[in-house]
Amino acid sequence: MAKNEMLPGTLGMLILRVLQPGPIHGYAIAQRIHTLSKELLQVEEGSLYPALQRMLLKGWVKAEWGISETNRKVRFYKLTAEGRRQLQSEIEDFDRVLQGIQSVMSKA
Amino acid sequence: MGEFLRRIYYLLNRRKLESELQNDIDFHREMLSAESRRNFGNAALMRERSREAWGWGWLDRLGQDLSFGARLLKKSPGLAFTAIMVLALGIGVNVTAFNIIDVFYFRPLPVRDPNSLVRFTSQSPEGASTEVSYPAAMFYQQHNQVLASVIVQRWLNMTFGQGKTESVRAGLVSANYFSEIGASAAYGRLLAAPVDAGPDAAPAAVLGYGFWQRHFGGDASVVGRTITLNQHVATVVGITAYEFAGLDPDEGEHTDLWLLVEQEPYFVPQTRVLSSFNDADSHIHMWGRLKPGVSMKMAEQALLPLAQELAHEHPGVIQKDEHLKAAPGAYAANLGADDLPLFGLLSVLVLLILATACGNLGNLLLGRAITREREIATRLALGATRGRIIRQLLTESLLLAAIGSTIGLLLSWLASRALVVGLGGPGNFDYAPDWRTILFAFGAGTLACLLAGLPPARQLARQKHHSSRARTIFMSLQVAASCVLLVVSALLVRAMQIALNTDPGFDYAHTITVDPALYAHAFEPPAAREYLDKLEQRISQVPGVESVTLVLNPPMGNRASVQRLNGAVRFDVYINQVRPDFFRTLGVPLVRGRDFTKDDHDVVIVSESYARRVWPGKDPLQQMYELGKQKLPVIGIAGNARSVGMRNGQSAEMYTPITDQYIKEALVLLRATGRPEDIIGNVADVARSLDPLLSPQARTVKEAFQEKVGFSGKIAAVISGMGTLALLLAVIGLYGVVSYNVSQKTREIGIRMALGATRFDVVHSVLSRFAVPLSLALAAGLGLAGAASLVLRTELYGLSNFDPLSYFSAAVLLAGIGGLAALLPARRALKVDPMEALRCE
Repeated sequence: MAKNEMLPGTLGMLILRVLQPGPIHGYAIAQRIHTLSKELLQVEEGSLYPALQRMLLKGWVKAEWGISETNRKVRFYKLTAEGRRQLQSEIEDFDRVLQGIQSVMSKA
Repeated sequence: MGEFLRRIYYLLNRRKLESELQNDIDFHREMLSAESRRNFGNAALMRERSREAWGWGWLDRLGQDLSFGARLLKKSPGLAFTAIMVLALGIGVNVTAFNIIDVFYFRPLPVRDPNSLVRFTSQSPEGASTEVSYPAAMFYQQHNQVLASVIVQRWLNMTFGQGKTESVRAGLVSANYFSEIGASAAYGRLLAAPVDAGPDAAPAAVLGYGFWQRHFGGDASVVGRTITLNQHVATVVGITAYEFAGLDPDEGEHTDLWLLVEQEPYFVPQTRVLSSFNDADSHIHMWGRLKPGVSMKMAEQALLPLAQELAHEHPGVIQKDEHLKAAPGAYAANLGADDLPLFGLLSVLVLLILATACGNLGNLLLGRAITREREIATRLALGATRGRIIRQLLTESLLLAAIGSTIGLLLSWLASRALVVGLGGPGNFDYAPDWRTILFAFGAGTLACLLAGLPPARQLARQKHHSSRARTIFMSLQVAASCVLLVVSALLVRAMQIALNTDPGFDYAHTITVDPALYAHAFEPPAAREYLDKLEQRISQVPGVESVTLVLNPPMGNRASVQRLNGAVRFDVYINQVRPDFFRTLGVPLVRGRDFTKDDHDVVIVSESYARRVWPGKDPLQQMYELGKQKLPVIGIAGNARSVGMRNGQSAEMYTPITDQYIKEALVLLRATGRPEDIIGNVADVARSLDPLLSPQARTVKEAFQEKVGFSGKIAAVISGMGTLALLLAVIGLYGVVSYNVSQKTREIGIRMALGATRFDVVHSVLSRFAVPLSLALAAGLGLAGAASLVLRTELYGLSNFDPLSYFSAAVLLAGIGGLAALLPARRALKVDPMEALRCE
């Protein structure tokens, strides 16, 4: 798998997941996905920000002003209650799909 | 907050949200460069994609297209002005026609709850009548289960004032009339049931606003004072509002004052209006208000047994199968089957104007498309899709449509009122466009712009050139459409000339009518005969009067009885009832046979044209005239006169002696030895001195003639105006197309000239391609005009609707002016310098 490729449709789930511990800004989202994936996954800003806009619109995340570690005013994204529910259902869906794929791969 | 609301919120707070997004991205980049990792993605593209998530991309693009379109229009103001004006005129004419029809036929009058108001007419096997009798209306009111109320109205001429009186027109109404309309008074109060309706109520009058202004100079203190009507005193209780026109706006505008019909016996002691079941005695117009949930058909059905009961109780007066028919009551006019052909013609004519405008606009847009080829090619090369380009070009067309429609709508607002009032229609109507008119205006504008804008847009987006074919089609459309309009206006103008310059078969210049309107004053036949005999005799003694007679339907009047003959082509016989000496008085020659005598009855005199049509090759004096079930001997043949149906060329006249049944509707007709204007004052004075309650109206027939011809003249002027407009558009279009063709062919012309072509060859090479399509368009236009003219047959004062001169002159005018418009730019081809032409490019 190339370094920055992801399973389609999983970016939203990853973003929601890294937001679960608490509000962070956009750059940190990309950073955290990068480090947590042991530098396997890289989120480009070209897909990160459109995805965040969609989630804001859906009401899964909220944006609030905060101060970054470099002492700059920036928006922090925060998971909403609806976002938590969405994350839960996406994880369940993902698990089901993963199990399906695994059983095909092991038996066929 | 749901997703939809958030979307709206995003739309409303775009500025703020965009700057926040920008801040996010800037921060992201700062952090990246701090870690000396770079990302050189397209920042603008990314922002756009993020914004796209908000779902307002289409709006952004529409905004871009609109502002770009507006900039383009601003860049070439001449073209923009021409295009918008062409469109505004084309749409304006259509919207005006639509608006006028809408006002009279589809827009309810300003009355309370217009949908439940119905108007009743009386139907019997012998025909339809708009009138019923008052007792019958009251009988329906008392015994029906379907109507919440019955409203009645009638008109009466009365004398106003003491000593020197004048004639006024009174509207006599039921007590619920004003409250059912929902009208309010300008001053005082209107007539209402509990106060005015009782048997002991004092005679009360409400003045019309116009009459009040004319007679009392708008003095509000007249309320409470008394006036004298028919020598009886009544108290003025109020003034109607300026715009009040009642339930019949045509009459309503000319109604001077309003009284209760129940009080008519006080003003006209001999009246039988309240008691007689004969509708000829009362001329009552009847409206009703449907109870909730009752339809017009249900009401008609429910009233049927009542009609049978009436017929049973009043045999001989009310016929066995007479019954009421309901129609929507709150409209100025109801569309009848007879109106449809003329409406159709009018619609075709105005749509032709729109077609001309459309063709013209199409050529303008094609012309612009060519100058924009480079711009579009660049955009396509930069990756714009074809759909995106077409969408942008159509958005520009729609921008034009919106501006053109708005101006057209404003023009039509002014024009509707001016046109209707100019043609003698009511001035106190609201001619402002309503939602239907506005919808129509923008619909027509959008359609026109799409039709005119789509071919150039497609050509541009495909980067292909078929523009000359599209141009020819647009051009032919304009030529054909203006041809039809020119033919129709030529027909109408020629008909006008004929009306003015040829002998209508009778002498209208020396005759006067005197109308005592006995029918409005409840004269019984013997009394009417006695009065008219005396009036005839007195008038004949006035110096300067040559002869006197009586007539039922006056020459050039608005009354007619028509017998329609069956046959392939419509042919109408105008039936009139007259007294002896009618033919001498009106100056109609008696060709054969004899005049009526005082003792004649059940005999007829027919016009020559009738005899020729119905009994060709036979001796008409030996024939019997069939009128319904009767067969009447023909005693004389009169010269051809169109005294009643003057416009109708497909007609003849027939005369019988006046019967007792109609005597109270007769008018006196007299012939003056000199100018009728010199004696009309004396005649009127003599007529008025005979009975103080009547105020007979004297009028010269010439005046009526001028009024009628004047009306036709105005119609001809309106249609000619439309024809001129179409011609102008077509000429401009033709000029443009030929100019373009010359400019495209400069090189070819240069080579031809260098090779020794003559001047004729050059012009021929420029114009030849237009000859065939334009000839075809001209022929199609003439054919369409022929079809359209069928509708006009009865309006042309006897001119054939295929009058060759009209068609020929229209075709010559169009070909001549069109040729000139084509030759002027073609001449430029002659000035081409071969060397210059070859050197360019």
